[in-house]
Amino acid sequence: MGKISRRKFLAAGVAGAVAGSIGGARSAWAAPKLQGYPDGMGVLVDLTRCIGCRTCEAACNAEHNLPAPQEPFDDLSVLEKESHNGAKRRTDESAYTVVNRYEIPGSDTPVFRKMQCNHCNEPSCLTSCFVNAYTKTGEGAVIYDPEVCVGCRMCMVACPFYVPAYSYSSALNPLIVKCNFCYDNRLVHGQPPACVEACPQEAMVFGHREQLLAIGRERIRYQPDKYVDHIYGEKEVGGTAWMYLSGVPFEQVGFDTTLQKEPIISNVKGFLGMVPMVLAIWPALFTGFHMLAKKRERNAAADCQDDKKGESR
Amino acid sequence: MKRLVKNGTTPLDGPRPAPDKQPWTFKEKLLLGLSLRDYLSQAFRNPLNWVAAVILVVGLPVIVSRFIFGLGYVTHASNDYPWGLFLGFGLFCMVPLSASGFLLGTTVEVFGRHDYESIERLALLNGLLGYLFAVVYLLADLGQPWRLPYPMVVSWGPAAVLFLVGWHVATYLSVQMAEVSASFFEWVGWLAGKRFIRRIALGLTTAGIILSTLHQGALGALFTYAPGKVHPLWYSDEFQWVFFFCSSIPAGLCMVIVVSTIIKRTMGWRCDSNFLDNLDRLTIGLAKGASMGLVTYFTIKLIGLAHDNEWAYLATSWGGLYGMEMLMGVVVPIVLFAYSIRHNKVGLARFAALLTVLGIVLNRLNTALFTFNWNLYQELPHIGEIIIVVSIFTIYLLVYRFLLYRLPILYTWKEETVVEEAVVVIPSAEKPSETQSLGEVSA
Amino acid sequence: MQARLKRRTEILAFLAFFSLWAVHCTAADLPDTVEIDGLAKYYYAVDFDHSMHIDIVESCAACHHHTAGTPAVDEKCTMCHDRTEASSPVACQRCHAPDPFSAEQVYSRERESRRYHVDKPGLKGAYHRSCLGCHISEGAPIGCQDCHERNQLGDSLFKASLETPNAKVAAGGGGGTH
Ligand code: SF4
Ligand code: SF4
Ligand code: SF4
Repeated sequence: MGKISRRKFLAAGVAGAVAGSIGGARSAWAAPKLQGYPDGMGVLVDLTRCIGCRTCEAACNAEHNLPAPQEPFDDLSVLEKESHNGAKRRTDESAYTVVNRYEIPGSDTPVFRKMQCNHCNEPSCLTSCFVNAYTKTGEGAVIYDPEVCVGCRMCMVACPFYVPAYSYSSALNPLIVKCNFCYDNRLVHGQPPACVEACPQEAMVFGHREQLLAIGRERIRYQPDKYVDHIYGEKEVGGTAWMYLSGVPFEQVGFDTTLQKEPIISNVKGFLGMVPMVLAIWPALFTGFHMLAKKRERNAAADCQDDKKGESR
Repeated sequence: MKRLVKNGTTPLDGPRPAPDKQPWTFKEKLLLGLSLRDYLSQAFRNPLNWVAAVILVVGLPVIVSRFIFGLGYVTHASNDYPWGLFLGFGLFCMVPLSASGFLLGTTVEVFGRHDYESIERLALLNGLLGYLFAVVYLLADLGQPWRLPYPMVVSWGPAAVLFLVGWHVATYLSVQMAEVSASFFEWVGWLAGKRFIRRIALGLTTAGIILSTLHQGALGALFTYAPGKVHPLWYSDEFQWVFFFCSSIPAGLCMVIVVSTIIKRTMGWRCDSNFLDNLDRLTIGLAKGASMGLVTYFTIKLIGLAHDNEWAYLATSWGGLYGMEMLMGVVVPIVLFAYSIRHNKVGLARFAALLTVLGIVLNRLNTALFTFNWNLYQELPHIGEIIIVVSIFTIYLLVYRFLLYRLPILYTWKEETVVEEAVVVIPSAEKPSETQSLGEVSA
Repeated sequence: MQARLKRRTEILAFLAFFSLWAVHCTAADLPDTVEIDGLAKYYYAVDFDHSMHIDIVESCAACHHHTAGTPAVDEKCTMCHDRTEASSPVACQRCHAPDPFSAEQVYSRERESRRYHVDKPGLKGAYHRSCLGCHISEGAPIGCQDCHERNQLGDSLFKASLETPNAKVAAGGGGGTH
């Protein structure tokens, strides 16, 4: 399949048109590989370029026919909105992506940050799901299958970026709501995500993840005064497909800079590794205990025939 | 009921007394051998029933509305706190408190401590009901509860810890059903079924040990998916599952102490002398086990602190909460247990057990709810959630009591004619001899 | 399908317009106004007052790098581009693709990944970053609709029919504020 899609893409490239294939090969981008998705696509978000216009939010909403928001997308007052508990806006059942505004101490220019699913290389939403509702595609998208989801919301607990939301308002078919990298309607047809395409500032660059890393490093090297020397998402929780550049320390714009470098699943491996051991050793061990107990019991019974049972121990 | 028994009524505890050989009808068994009138009037006299009725009158509509209007109607519908009280209390607290089944099963069946037998069935029932209602809470929490069997039959996520929890709780539930069904078979009078269960008891128990070790730990391991979200004092990459497994041991044992204490106070008429006479001695025995478990747990907690070098957090207000939990739920009980064991003070041991149970509940709530998102903001559960949790717990207590009243859990079913045990006179001698003969069959 | 066709047409309109512009410029015949309709799907075309901007900026290089005959302003550019004569691609579009993230563009960028301009913005990005950069530093208007008047489709994209609780924003006409 990989080879076919590569060829398909080349054909498309020669024709000078976008590979708008319907059916046939699913991917216009690359061959899915088993380890680390080296050909995975990604997006590099440059916070120094974002002007907080919310065009991306509008484009995503339209692309996915999401429910209408509470305020129109040109109402920029929501950028500063905080909920009753002081938290910034986040993705919810009607938004795959949101942009927030952050005031930076000692600077009068605010910084805007777009958030959506980061499409982790080793997604903890995926590894924590007990019905395997998530898939990391060869293109790098982490997609969700609403047909099997039971609604335990483990993935929401597990996502280190607080991305998946739940349509709590639905009684009969509540589902996880999450950015899917525009997988079905764009990515597989060789098109960039709707939000990336809509952004007037080109605050987001879409391409292969490896290439994006190179671009990111280049920007930092080229303007070391402008950027913090870090690409957020390069290493965090094993790397993410969506990555960020920032001109201010990442923790000032709502990023968790304490995240581990290893994938989340590595925390769980210790426990999972123990499972087969317990399965193998416990039966033998406890049968052994039982035999010992039995033997002792019989000996005791033989030794003191006359004693009243039950009180001897 | 107490009054009835005082006035000379014998609650149904075996086949109908000798003169007429008629077996009890099912209805008579359900009514404890009382007439419908007597049964109802004793039920109406019990003030606890009224309390339960009030709770359910309020709670049942809320439970129904949860299913009609969705989770958002009775919870904060929080995307930051995907798990609320339903799982925080219902799953994470009920399961460790139900470790009693496998602990006492092991003690009796594997280690051959048949002197604990008079309390084994209570422990098994406590385990079964705890798990059953954990599942009930789970059903209330799942977005699409009708898909509960999906991880078993539709789509497998075998790499997920929750997959393991799901399978283990399901299997263990069946194991416990089988274990408890021995009493049920006695009650309905199907002795062949009972004998079969006795024969496979050792197998069931061993399965129970394996499953319990794994899923008690797995509940802890679930949180290793959210390393930054749980406060470091309640979290450890390496030890999380050990914390949960270790603390489930004292939790299960202490739950048996607490439950048996309540039973002794409120349901003395239902217990036979085998249960009542042995209870104090067994309580001290359980207390010994619980205190050993607590000491181990405490040590591992300290190792966890030192390993992740989390001492600095102790000085924060989170540290205060942590200190309170450890002091109230671990250190004080250890001291009290030690004192009560040495001086044979059963009452004190019972109090310490209560503290331990509360301490474990606090620990699980702290991990799953209160310190979750400690970097973000704290949220108190929605009133609807609290009502549902209390209502389900009330139902749990009612079912618990219903079964204790009827099944031969607290008393020994007076069997009619069992050939092997011709002389069954002294209750305390009866049980060991019976199981020994059966034990040999299974060995 | 409809949408794709539409997009195709937009792009074609773009191409036609910019090639015209390029011809004009090399003939040293600078246009006074330029109609920019790259966002025609959601906004009416912008009548860009070219001559006014020529008057207020110091050098063509402020927008056109080195391509219009003035030396590049950025010293990193002058390492290669220090010639003073005009080069043929003057129009933005000649270098900045309107579809920077199409499969074709992504792959062609990666094929030439060792080239210096691997991080070259697309047309829309180049415009906005160039225009907005000055508009912000010079205190010129910066709201989206200060330059682009939204059409009906644009209104529906932004769900403009919804109640806007915040009057201040409604007056500002929406779009990026700083
Ligand atoms: S469209 Fe681009 S500039 Fe506007 S808010 Fe989104 S990321 Fe920022
Ligand atoms: S950001 Fe969260 S939801 Fe997205 S892939 Fe990673 S873990 Fe999953
Ligand atoms: S990638 Fe697609 S789904 Fe995700 S935020 Fe952007 S437009 Fe929405």
